[in-house]
Amino acid sequence: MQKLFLIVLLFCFAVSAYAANASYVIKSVRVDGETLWTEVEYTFIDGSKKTIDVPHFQPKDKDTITQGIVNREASEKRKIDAQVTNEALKAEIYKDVNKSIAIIK
Amino acid sequence: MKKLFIFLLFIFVCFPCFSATCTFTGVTDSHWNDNDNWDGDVPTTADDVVFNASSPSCLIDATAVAKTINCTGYVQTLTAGANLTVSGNITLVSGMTFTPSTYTVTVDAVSTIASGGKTFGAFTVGSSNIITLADDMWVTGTLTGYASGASNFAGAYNLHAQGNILRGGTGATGFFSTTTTLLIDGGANQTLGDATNNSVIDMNLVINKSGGTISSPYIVYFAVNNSPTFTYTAGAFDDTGGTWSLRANSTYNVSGMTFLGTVSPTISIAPTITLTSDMNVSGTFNTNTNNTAKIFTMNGYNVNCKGAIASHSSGYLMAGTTVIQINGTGNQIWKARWVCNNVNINKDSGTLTIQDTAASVLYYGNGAVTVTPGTWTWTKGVVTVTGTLNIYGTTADVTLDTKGGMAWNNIIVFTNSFGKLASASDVNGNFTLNAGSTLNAAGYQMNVAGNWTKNATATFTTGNNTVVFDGTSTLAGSTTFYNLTLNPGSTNHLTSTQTFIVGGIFKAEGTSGSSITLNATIADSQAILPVTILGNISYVTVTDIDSSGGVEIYDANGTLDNATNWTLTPPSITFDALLLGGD
Repeated sequence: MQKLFLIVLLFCFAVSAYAANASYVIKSVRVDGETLWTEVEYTFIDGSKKTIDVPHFQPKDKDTITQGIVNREASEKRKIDAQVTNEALKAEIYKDVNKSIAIIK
Repeated sequence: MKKLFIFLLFIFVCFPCFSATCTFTGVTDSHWNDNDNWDGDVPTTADDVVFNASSPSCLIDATAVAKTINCTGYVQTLTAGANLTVSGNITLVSGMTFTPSTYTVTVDAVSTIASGGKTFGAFTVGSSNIITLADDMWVTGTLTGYASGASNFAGAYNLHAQGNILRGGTGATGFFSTTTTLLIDGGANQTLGDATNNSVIDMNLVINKSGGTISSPYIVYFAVNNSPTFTYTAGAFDDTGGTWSLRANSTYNVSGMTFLGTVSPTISIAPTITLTSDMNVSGTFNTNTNNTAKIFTMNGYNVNCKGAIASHSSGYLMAGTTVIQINGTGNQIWKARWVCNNVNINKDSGTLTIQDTAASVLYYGNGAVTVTPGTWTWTKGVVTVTGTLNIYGTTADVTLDTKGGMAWNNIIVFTNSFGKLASASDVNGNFTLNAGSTLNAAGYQMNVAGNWTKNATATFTTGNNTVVFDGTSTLAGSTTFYNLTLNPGSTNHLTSTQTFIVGGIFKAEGTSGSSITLNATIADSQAILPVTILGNISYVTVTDIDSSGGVEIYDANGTLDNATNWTLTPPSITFDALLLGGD
């Protein structure tokens, strides 16, 4: 029974770890001179999706392109996180709008 | 001959170490700076250094020099414990280990560098001689350019800059290549340039960072002679406080990033910029050079201006197919003088103020040069114009497509220029057609609140449009209108003795509380206003107007003084009106 519990626990952990990953789908690819463009649909951890044209300048191989796509996910995730943070900060700062606040040094 | 032979022999005997080969043997220990560890002595700048299959691991334990370093076949570890200067080729191989730590490798001569997949720590370019990459090269520390001249690279490979990137000097310094790409791909924070030297990059540039931010708080002069491409793939980019100066012909794939600082052409140089994606500018977008002989050209896609749009005070023309799209969500100010590109105002919020003073002038069009004038489009957003719009297109139509959604202050169609409307236009100030100019209203309504001035040699093509005067206006210069409407409350002075023909419908429908004034500029000297089709006319105070060339005008509840062919009596019912059942 204990083993079963552990297996179930491990399974749940593995599933949750898998679900925590972002993913992408390359929707199309085109070449414009020295630049290869991938149209990538990212699915972020929260399930939201965003489609982005990712340029790859003189890519040497598939790994280079993959690295660019993966890096861009990190950048876009960072932007989304920043927006969420900004909204939270905005709500916080909004409380102080038009208030006279003493500067304490 | 014999003497010469002896002399040469003497030379070779006296200088046995000239360009010698020094092989690392490590007999005593791993230290570079020990004569006993070399097949020869510790290398000098004239020596070719060899690490071969038999060489043991080596520690650069003191500042070291070499003419070249060849590690072909080396399988041990070369560790930097001090800086190393090489005056020629460097060949590292995949089978070896190179531990650069934070020490600097400087190359100060013509060189071919084969990295073998190894990573350099800090790397400094020590001369303007060409460094040819035989494969990709990684620099995890600071990449520093030559302090006294260009840092020239060759080889169609990537120079991976994963630390800070410093120009190294001023003047003709910077990073130059027609084939090598400067790839900024560090996983941590990086800085481009410094306050003393700024940056010059005249080679392909890619930002593809997995983490950290590339900061660029100084001036970056991008492009000189090599027409490089700037590609943004990934990574956080922050140029707050900095300027990207587009110095020469160059291409940009940068839709995924936003310039937070200033983007501008270099003053006095007018490059051609090619966008292969949108360019986002949250800082200031400077549209102009100050060189009246040159054109700053941007082709393709949009520049999304989310901040201020500025210009040099004596700036000249910005042209090309790129759309200057003003779509910031906050308040924006446009101080541009000369613009020829397509413009699209597309603001969800905030106000765009065009010109900062009422006396300033915006020139829109191609001026006297032979480029295609653009279209000024208003899509949405609040716009305030305080200066004067000069429509200045001397070779083709400059088009306004403002859909009546934004109001101009003054409009002048410049001498010998061509203007055209693509939708309704609203002028809160004066409208002027200079000598030899043409405005094709193309059937679209024009509202004018100020003066209407048409030079005798100017052409006003109505396209059967309606001109509405809705303020206090003086009309100067004989003009043929199609439909002419005087709005309630308006005051309209027609220049005495001049002729203003209404080829279509004349409407002047005042009310008891908002009457209309229509008179001539000189008392007792009539202006001529023949009307073809009579619209509703009421509460008009008419003085010194001669409409005898057209239909009789009935002014209900009006006041007439020296008004020819005007009457306060309703017109008699015509036979046609009876047949049509009219009244």
